Amino acid sequence: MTSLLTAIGQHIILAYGGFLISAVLGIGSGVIALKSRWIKVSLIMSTSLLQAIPAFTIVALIVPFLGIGFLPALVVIVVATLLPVVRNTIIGLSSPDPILIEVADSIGMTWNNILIRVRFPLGIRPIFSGLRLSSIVANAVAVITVFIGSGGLGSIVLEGLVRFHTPGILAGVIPAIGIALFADVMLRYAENRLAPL
Amino acid sequence: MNLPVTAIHHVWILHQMTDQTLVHLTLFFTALLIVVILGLSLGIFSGISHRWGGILIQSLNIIEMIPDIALLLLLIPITGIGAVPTITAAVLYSLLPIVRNTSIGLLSVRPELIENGTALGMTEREILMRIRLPLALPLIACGMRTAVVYTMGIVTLGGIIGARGLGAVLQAGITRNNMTVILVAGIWIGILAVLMDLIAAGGERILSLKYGDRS
Amino acid sequence: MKGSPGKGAGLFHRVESLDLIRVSKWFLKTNAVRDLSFSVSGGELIALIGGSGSGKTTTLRMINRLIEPDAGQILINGVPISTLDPIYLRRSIGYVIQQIGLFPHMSVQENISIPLKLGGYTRVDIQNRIDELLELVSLSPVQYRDRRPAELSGGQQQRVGLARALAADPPLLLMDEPFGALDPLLRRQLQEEFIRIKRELRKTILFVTHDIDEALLLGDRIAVLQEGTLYFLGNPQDLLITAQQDPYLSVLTGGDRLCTMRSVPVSMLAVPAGDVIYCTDLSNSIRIRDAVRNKEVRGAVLSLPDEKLRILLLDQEGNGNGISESPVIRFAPGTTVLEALSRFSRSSARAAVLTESDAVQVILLEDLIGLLSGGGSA
Repeated sequence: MTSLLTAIGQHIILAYGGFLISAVLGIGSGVIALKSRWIKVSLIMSTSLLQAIPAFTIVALIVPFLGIGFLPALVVIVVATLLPVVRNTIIGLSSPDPILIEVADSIGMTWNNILIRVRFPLGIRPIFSGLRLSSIVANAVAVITVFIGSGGLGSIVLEGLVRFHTPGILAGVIPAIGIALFADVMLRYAENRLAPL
Repeated sequence: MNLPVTAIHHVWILHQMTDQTLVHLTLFFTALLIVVILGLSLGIFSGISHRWGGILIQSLNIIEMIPDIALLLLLIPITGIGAVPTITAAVLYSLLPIVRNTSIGLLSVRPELIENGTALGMTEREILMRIRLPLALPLIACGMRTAVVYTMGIVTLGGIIGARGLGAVLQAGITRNNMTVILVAGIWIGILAVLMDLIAAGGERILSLKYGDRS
Repeated sequence: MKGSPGKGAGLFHRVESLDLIRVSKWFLKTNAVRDLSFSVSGGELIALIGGSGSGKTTTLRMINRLIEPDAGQILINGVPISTLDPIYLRRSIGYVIQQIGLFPHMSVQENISIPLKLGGYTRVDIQNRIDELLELVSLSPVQYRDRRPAELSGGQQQRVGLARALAADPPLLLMDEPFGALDPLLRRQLQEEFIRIKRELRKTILFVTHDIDEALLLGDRIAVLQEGTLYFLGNPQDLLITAQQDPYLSVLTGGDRLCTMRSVPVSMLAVPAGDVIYCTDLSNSIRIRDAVRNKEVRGAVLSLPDEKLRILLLDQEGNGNGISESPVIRFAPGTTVLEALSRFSRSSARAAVLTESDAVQVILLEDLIGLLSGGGSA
């Protein structure tokens, strides 16, 4: 039982640590993309291509570069979850009607002012749908990263899998589903609290 | 990372990668074919019947929240291991984007266009086939592109539950800690995946140029 | 982020002069504004009129630096605005547009408070100022303060838009077809109200419109733009006189209609005797109000003890109790339509009495506007 709890703990740290890093990075680069059309286009193009690569492939490809263990696993999770956040942040921040941005300009709001008081509030829903997708992906990838020695719930799953022991697999999978659902509920709650409309 | 051609060739032969690529693509296209046919029919159904369509999309939403790997593994007790659970999981997981986009596409056609159709004496069926469906095509194509990415991901993951294909080669590379195998198989899957996505993106672009309602 | 200046600290507190000097702007090779020069003096309302593509909106947007001119200079009080920080420049200029652009995620009071917060007003000042502004634009603060824009009608949204533009008390106001999206009846009411607000605030205003009647009604002077150049600049009377010889202006001003109309005696618009009641005895005012409210009569003229006249009229949009009271001005016998229009535009009256022969006749502003917009009984 202790080992299951440890595994759950490791899993949460890995999955949601990675998720938090990619949320910060993703939202940050979404903001930077507003500054220049060139950055925006290249970010969207590169993210949509990277998104096509299966997560399991990214898990494997990290090994020749960073080896195995917790850190490479964390990097994989950030890489795999960054894309929805970046793309949806760009979509969300550019979603307000251009008229509103013009009016905000004409009132004399600064760029930062407009970002915080107009773009973010009106872009909350797209940004959060990116975050929710990312949280599901983070959770799933954190199970797969057991193949590169990340520990966590994946190790319980893997143990069940090699012994063809169904209850063993379920013991790892069901908590992972529970965690994913819980994270999604929490993100929905946060979204509804933050969404202005 | 230095990968001489002979090493690549060696790995390719040793792991029967031509064969595995064919298996991989067979799994991929089988799942995709099923998901497109099923998704379009269910999508049209959801676009017509609000009540059942809503329930269907809600259930698919719940499936979508399950991590893909968990879905795959949960199927093992029911279907055993191998190709069947892989294809089933890929279909279940990729249905949502197609069903949802089809139904939204059918329902979001501007009401004045439908009114015009009715005024011209078109039947419900003709309105569906000649107005709603063509105008929904760009959105449907967008859903299909997402489905392509999801299906590719799950088919690759199928390698760990004995479905063969390139995912199995990748897994072998990881468990034997063989960098050459990981790089060759990984990059090859990456190329295939990006290629499939680009083809889907091209289709989406053509359809949205042709049928996009830009007025 | 730049520090906020103190309360109400714009770049200028009054506009003595606004000068455009040989201003040009190109968009993708087409000349949106070409070598445009004109001067506006403080407290004046200039109506910019012209067809689509005449460069009137572009001109407006160059003044608050939403776009930069490709050539030429714009001076406010003699200072080139290109040397001013655009952020602070815009805080000194109110901007009202047809699409209004209220922030959908903020309540009425939050919308209005943005320029106040940027101007560094205190919380108490902001609260008082919001109520003051809502009353200025004829919205009850208690009723409307906390509403979202989606819960307001088009007319109410534009009132809030105006209140927001006026919030930080900018000395210069730019208005881009602010009433263009409203239905004719409502537009008329807002125009009339705007005349009152303009008189109360004495701001310098540039007002873009494509509606000649609006320009004639509101403008102290009218600037006619054609293909990015200044075609005519002068007061409404001059415009109508010049239009008689000038084919383009004649089409713009509605041609024959206005030219013949300008010399017609305004007495032709007199309200039929039974439609207005006169009343010297104020004791039965409740009954009179009911009569107006129930549309038994179009208005009721009250003659007050101090010889002043007031008129009770039905409020089109139904604000307050549905009745509005306005002053009445007096016209001399033989007053023409054109003279009447210019008298009305310099007053907040919505009605006038004409002391002709023995009978007293009542002229309503709405009938005059109706006549000029071509929908009248003429």
